[in-house]
Amino acid sequence: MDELRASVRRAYERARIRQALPWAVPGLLLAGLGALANGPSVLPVGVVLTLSLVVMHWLGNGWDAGLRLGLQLGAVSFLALSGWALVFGACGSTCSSRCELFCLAVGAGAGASLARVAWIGETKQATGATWLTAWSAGLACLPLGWSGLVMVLVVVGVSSPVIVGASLRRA
Amino acid sequence: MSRPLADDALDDAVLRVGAGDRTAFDTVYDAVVPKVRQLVGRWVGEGPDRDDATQRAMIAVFENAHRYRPEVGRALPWILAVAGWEARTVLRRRGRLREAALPEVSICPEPSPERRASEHELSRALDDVIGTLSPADQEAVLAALERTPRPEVSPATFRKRLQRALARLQAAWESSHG
Repeated sequence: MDELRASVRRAYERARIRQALPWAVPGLLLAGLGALANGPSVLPVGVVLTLSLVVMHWLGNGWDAGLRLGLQLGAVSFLALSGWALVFGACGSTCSSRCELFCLAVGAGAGASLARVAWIGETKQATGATWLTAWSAGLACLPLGWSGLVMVLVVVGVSSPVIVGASLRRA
Repeated sequence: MSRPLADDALDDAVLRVGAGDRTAFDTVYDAVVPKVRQLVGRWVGEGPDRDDATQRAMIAVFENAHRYRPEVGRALPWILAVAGWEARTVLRRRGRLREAALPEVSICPEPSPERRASEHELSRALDDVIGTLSPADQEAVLAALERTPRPEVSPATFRKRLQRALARLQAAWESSHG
């Protein structure tokens, strides 16, 4: 009987991985767009994003609830920042302050949305979505240098205390 | 070791397993495996075939747990339907599935006398309504119920005849029984 249980459990995990694999597609798409826009140096960020999507869906149990929200906010952040770089040219020292401000604004908006989700009790969803948003936006932000990192940190910084607070409140 | 679970608890546990809650795995497994083994045993008999079919059935149940929807019905019938399908697959592969009607399988206790009486009444009422159909419709319905041999027509033709006959049977039933 133990052998049966073990083989059923293995089959169940394999099935969960098979169900999770299609979630790699949006990650690979964003990574490809990021590489096209900002060069191959962002590919490691794309790999982390893609793996995160697959792992979060495989884990399930509430962690997959943040997939869509994280991808939506991340894609919006990525497209906004990439569009900004396209319109104003890649940020160099002359426009770094504008880039930083823009990154701050986009990051704060995404972070506030996630904080609100955490506040209404969906902490796993908010945590997962924050992670994905940060890495998605990082595809556009990191090549911008420090301003990119600022944006990522703001996304995390705005939502994290709320996520932590909501978790402690429910504990 | 089996632990009896209330229907609601099993439904909830299956939903949680489908959503990725690994803590519910053993709950569902322990509640379901004796019933699956019993059902599968009725189809394929004892021996290694039963173990093989039980394993296939349990794997199919857990691989498809994410497809279970409580609004469609209870988890246990859904699980037993999956198990029954896998048992039939084992039988078919071993070439033992015959054209004759398959045995009725039930893991429920023997029906009460009242239940038997109402089933008898229902069966008589159905026979009465079938009797009101045209000969061609009667032939199609009785062949589908495996009470008479199938007419010598192509499967597609039989399916169409049966579809029309069932529609007329339903209309006849509704007009006589509301």
